[in-house]
Amino acid sequence: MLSKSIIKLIDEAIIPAVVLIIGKMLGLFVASSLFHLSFTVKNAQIFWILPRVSFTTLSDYIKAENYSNLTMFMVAMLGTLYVIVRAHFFHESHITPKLHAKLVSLNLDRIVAPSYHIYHQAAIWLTFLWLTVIFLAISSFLKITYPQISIMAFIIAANFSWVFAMDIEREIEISKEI
Amino acid sequence: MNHFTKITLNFLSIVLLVSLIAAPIYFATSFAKVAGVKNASKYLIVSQVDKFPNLTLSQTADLYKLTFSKIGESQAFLDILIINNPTTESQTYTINVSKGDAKIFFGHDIANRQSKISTPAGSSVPISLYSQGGTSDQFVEFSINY
Repeated sequence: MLSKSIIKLIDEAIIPAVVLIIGKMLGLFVASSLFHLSFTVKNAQIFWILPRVSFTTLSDYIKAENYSNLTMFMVAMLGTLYVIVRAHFFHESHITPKLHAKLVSLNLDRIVAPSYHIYHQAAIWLTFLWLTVIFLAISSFLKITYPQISIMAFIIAANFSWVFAMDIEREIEISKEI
Repeated sequence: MNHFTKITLNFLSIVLLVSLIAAPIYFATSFAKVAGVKNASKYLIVSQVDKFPNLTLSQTADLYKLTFSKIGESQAFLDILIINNPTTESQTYTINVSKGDAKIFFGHDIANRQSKISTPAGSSVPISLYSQGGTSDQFVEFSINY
């Protein structure tokens, strides 16, 4: 039998992967149109379906790359934030009865999720968040991404990890009480 | 389901998971590039022939032909061409004259005519022409080897 955890992780990884790719593409095209950067597109270059964009000058490439990397990080950050808020406020194991009742009355009780679901989602989003931070750090080291973006990304990822760790700590205390 | 199938399926699912996680990062590194014209040429010839009356330059593939009309029996045309080394390494160029009696050489010292020269990366060397004797209308065909 296949490991349920691995299947769950694969299931949770699909949407973040797609969303990050779309975020990167969107960031690049928006930056290019805002700053009037000239580029050419070659189709079916990456994974046999996705395009590759070529800029005529290094400065254009660096500008577009920075804004698209920032967009990609913000997408990862928002996804992780969503999971952390859900883990903190809408966690089945420690949601306040008042809030739960309110959500039920508004027909929004599907927001409340069990630990199994939340922690698998969080593991995936935090993995993507930290991989994005590592990518930004390497890109800064190669003098492509501005260092300010990498530093800010690291601080945000560290804080999100700390908040999530606090939630895990609370979960452990609850299970000890039980 | 036997053990081997279980292990194989679990392994493949881990590979799929790792691929899903790595895909956006790989995409981010490969999506945008800088396009550039890759110059594979080992030398560039810059013509200054238009500064010289009665001197024309034509080219067929790697063969250059200079056609000129000289005023006196001996005449030199200095710095008619400039050869540039666009590569990142030092190059040694040789002028090979295939037709004509005129002398094509690097530099502009008639007394010290060099048909072979070593050029550092990014630098340029002039090419000059010297004709002694013969008819007033002449031509010389040459190529540049490296």
